[in-house]
Amino acid sequence: MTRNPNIPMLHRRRALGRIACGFGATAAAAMLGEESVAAGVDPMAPRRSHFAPRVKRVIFLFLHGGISHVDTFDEKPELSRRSGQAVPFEKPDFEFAVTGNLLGSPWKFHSHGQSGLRISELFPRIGSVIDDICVVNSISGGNEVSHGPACLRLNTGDGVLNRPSLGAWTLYGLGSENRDLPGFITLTPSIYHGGTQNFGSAFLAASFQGTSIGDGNAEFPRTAAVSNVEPARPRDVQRRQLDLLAAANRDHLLETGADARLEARIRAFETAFRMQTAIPEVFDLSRESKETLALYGIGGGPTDEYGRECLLARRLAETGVRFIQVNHSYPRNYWDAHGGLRANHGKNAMKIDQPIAGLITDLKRRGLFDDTLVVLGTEFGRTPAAQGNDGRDHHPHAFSMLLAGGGVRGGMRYGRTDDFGYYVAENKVSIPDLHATILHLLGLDHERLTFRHAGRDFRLTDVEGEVVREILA
Amino acid sequence: MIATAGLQVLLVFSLNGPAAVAADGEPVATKKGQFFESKIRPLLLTRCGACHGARKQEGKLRVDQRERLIQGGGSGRAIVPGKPGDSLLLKRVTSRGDQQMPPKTRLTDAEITALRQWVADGATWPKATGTGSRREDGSDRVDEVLAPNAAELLKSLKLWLRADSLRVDDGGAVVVWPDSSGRGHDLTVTRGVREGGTGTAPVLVHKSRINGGPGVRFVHGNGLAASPDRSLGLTGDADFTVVLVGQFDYDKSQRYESVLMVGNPAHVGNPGKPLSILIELETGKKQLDLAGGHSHDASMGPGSAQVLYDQPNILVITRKKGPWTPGTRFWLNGESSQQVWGRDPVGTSVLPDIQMRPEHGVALGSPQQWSAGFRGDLAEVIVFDRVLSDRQRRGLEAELSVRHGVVMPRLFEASKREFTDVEKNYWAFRPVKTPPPPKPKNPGWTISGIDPFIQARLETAGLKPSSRADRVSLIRRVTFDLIGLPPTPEQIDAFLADKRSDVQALGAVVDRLLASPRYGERWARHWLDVVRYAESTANDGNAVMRYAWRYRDYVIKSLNTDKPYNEFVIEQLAGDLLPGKTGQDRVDAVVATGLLMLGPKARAETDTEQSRLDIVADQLDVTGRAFLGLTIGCARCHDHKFDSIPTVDYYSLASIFRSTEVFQDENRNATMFQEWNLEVEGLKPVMVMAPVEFRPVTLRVHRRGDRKNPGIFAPRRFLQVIAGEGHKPLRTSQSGRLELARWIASPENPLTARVLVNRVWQNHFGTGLVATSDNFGNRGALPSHPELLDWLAADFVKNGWSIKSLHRRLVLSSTYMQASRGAIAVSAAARKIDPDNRLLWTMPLERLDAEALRDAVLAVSGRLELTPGGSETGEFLYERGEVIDKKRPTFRPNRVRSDDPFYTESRRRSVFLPVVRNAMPDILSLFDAADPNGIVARRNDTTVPSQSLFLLNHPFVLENSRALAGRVLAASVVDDRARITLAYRLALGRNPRPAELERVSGFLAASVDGEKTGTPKEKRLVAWTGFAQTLFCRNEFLYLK
Repeated sequence: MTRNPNIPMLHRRRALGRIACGFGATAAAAMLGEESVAAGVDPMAPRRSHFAPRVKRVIFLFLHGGISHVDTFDEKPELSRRSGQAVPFEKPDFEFAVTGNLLGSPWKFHSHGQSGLRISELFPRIGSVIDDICVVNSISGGNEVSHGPACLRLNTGDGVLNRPSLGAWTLYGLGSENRDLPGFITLTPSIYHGGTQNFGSAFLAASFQGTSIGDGNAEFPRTAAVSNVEPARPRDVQRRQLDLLAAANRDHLLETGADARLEARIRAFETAFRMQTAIPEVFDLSRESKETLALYGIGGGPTDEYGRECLLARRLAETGVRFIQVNHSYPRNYWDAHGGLRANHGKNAMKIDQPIAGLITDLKRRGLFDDTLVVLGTEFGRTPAAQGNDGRDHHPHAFSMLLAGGGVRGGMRYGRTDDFGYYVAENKVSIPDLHATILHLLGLDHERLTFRHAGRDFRLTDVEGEVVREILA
Repeated sequence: MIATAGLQVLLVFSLNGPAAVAADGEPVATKKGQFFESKIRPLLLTRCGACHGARKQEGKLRVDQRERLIQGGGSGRAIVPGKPGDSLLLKRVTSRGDQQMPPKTRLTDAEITALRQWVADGATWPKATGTGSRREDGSDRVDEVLAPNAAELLKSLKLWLRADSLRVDDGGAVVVWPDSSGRGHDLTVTRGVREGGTGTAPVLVHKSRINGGPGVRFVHGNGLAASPDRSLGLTGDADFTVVLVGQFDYDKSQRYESVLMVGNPAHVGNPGKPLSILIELETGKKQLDLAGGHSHDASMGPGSAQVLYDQPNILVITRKKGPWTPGTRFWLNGESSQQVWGRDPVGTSVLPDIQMRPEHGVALGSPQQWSAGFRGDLAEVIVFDRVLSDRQRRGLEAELSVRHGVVMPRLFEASKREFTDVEKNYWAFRPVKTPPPPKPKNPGWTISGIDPFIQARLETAGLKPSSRADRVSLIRRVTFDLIGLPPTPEQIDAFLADKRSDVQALGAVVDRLLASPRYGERWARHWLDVVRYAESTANDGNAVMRYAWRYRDYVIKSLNTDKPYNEFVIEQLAGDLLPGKTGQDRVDAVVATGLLMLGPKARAETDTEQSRLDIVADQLDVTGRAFLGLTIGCARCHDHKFDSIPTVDYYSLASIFRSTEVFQDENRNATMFQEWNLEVEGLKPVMVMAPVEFRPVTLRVHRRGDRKNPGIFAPRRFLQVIAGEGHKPLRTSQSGRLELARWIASPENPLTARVLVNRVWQNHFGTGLVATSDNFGNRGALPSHPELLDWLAADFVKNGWSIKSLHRRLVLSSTYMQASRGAIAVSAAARKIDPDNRLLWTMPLERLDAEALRDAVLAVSGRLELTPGGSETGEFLYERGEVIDKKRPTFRPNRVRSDDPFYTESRRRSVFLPVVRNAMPDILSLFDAADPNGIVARRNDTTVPSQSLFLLNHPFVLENSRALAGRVLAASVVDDRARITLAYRLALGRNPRPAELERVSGFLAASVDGEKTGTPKEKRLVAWTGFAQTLFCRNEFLYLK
């Protein structure tokens, strides 16, 4: 594990103390019992993890709507053989709609790579990098059979109550390495199914919430779309304003006497000024080579949009953004195939296959793969039984996700569903287990990453969660 | 780590392992013993032991001892030796989905087969001698609940009448009361069935006297009977159990009132003497009888019926074959006749003579002309053809108690909790005292009653208060504090020119501010933070709460009129139930209960009862933290870990709130919350969002928060540690909210006044005397000045709970009028002794909150619109929403974004911007406005570059900068220096210093030069706009001295 020597690894409490110049801010926070962000403290300052991290950042590829596991990463020959027959055991207590008989996958599965892992023909390019990927076939989403609660459960750990998102917890735990950019950026999130709550900070400080770029309703923007980043006035005019402001603030500081909050705010204006140039630079994909653009499938066609998002994710990762979520989301890109499964999954898979494979390849060749965790997830799978004649219903009881990057064993399949893909048969991984594992890879102990609110210590994993050690490299 | 844990479990197991003799005396060497040691013990150890072993007992289940397995865990007995089919353990290991155990990896078929065989063979468990295990105290178990049609009762169930199964309008005639037992003994109106005529039918009352649930109301002459062709099967001298849930009215106009009959109601030739079993009330003697023919009675004796008359009852009567007594027994609300009346039934000991009749029916009330029937309501009638066992009867009573909210003393015995003296004497639970003010050495400093307390503590610590703040700082501080806006230059001038003493001059300013409508708008926002005010439901649906604004306006109005705080509390919890409210007062009181409706709501919840309980949890959370400063919600799953709030108290309070209905349609819960037309005499109907009464509900404790795992009964009552251990449960036929509200708002409640004065203190001084203003519990902070807190609370109550008087107490004080110093620039002594300024040796530098910042920018630029309240926000959201539920136009405002132009263009005060959950306006959320998804007792205070980016580039700031520039450029003053001065006076309340004038002049000149295009006038406007913007960005603008 290599550490960037330029990034001070301060213990959080020590960081607080230093920035607050010893004037009681730390003590105040401790004394309050309730944690609130102490005045003048920069909540984004990098903080030391609980133990040596395996990765520094997360790229979370979220496929909205529920991608079918039995058509993609969980091959079920028995399901195909008995296609059309009745489900041979009881269906779950909690289902979204009524389903019929078993429906075999319309897609073939092939072996890939040295590992020989078999995945569906929907993802030939992901197949080409399968030796870098751990396929988890035993995810269980509990009983959340509707999109909203299931999305919230995956993104925040709770399907009902308002809780901080995974990205917000990550920032709360680690701060951000790049102070000129938001530490948690989410690309084209849906405004539905929990909307902003899926990347919100709830009771954690507002600065931990995700900054969204675009939303699911419109094509991913081609220019920087971070709020208020585009300078309202020419650079020299703003510089003159900032100089006048700085002089006034210095006078004020002399008059009131030194105060950490006032000093922090003077610095914040200078940082903001720099962010106005730093952010557009990161967003400017024209700086990439033709070959790189081609790797992601950028340049028109179905892969262009998600390709641009994946490439931006890599660029953000490079600049030290802590948590990057790349959404393939409602209503423009939606996996919710109640009917028209072939068309829906065929089209959606085409859009993401090359960009995702390109991302993994690119991260590897730039040496970023080993300290980045890539997670491909969805709110639930789809029923092995048919809905209509070419559709599948929501299925949270067993589905698949992919993990890749530092600390994760590639070319590995973990967990197993029964012969039809209905229930987890072996090594169940609950959403809290997944969260605990992601935090673990970031060097955070999910049982220690707590925040006191309303009289109790809250955790992302609440009272659950076990790290899935078997998939760790 | 895993290996170690496994080893520990292994060691524990092996203690029990090498055994010579089985528990039941069976040697290990037997086949069964070997089978256990080779197959079962390793299986339990490796597959279950990590979570259910000596180290951990998840679900209270432990599998390393036979007794513990039989006893089971929270879900019941894990194994029934000999009966694998009844063994939960086998059910769980064979389940799929969420019930499956072990949860991660299923047992193999071979393992399951072995377990099944082991249980079938009697669950032999050889063990070492002398290791008898202690039975865990099962005291929190209560009687099993049994429905009348539970499998074990079903065969005996002969009749089951339920008023809640009737589909009749309120007040409609009950011509047929269908039998829910499945036996087809539907009752129809009598005197028709037997005599060819039509009788009078009782009516259905939707809100009966049986705690407001549905009931069938009888008056004399009403009667229902089943056809005699369909006998109940209670032939001859039969065993039976009759259960009645009802309330009876005393009416002495009839000598006998017949309630229920089983059998032929009339003796041939002597209609006055029934040949059936008859439950009757002998009104002359007020006596409860069970009659069975000619004077063959079992009676509870004179006066025994009295207890039936004033309350809903669950009356159970059983009779065994044979003579009337002692084969007959009565139970009232779960207590035996011995317990209720002090004796057993008395009467004849001969056989009843009903066996003479072969055909038997059943009748309620007046079956024939000779019989008067009775007066009262019946909710449920159940007949079994045998005597239920005590366990079955108790289980059934428990079920009925829950369903009908009938308080059964026995069931509630277990809910009493006792506390230690330490717990009861916890500082916040002690009565508020009025301590005498301390006598500081320098009495000249004292202005307000609070000053001696502050000064005495400073003196003890060897510190001195800061000097008096200058008048400009004072008027800016107090104006922002009380109305959230900057003082105008004219107001400042007037204050500076006031020749009176500081406190007299400031007193006049405070009077003016408190009389301003702007005061309520400012302080309402503080309250709205605490009660999670919003106008959409959050989560998936995020449905618009179109009428929430009425609650917001109610809060503003209440503050402006200085409504006594105790009334403010009562109205928000139970204004709808307040008697004697008329006209606009009635509207206000109902709107106030919007408090209970404001919380976030989940939309697509598959378990509708669960979603109601989640709403109750939210209501309890806000009640606890807003009014009482207690985190009651922590006791939902287990006794509160730090405070003296047992889980049963949580559910007692939850029972009160569950007795109120928040949803109109339980299946579409987040969209169909209660919105209804409130009709008040003399006024036009008003649409309100307010809950409605449901009916009294008694919940059971949900162990570990799981409603599928019920524990003891939780009668509706308050917190026992304060209100008294085992204090009397509520008997009201309303929800109990009014009683709860009055208990909270009582001067005797030790928390309510303390919590409120502390909140107001926090908003004036930055930090409360108790720093955790929503948590006065053990996990909260201790008061910095406990005597002062009590003095203020007592003073507050004495002044009629007047919040405005409280402001005067706090603001017109030497403490408040101190100068503030930069936090680091303090004397070394103060920094060392009291680094956090808890003793208040200076006034802290106060940052404007988000609303005050936005409002100040608008006020200074001259663009602020002061339109008060109204429906604009609700209607805006409603119009912008998308339909999410066609059953009624319900909208989600998903297309309202955090940078919506509406937010940028609105010129109204921030408190009147729409509050959309998950789409708060950037200008507010960036500056740490309250997240309306939860209760915010104290806001964060962050400083991040995104705030600076907003101030540099957001159109709102640019627009207002331009307006301020235009305002000063248009002013009729002598020159640009006067214009700069005006801008300073508007924005900062003071004149610029000479050096500042020079600097700004230089900036303006350079800016005009720097503009390449435009007319001179345009260039000038751009330059002045740039300067105006820097005023809004200044620390001096954001931080109040």
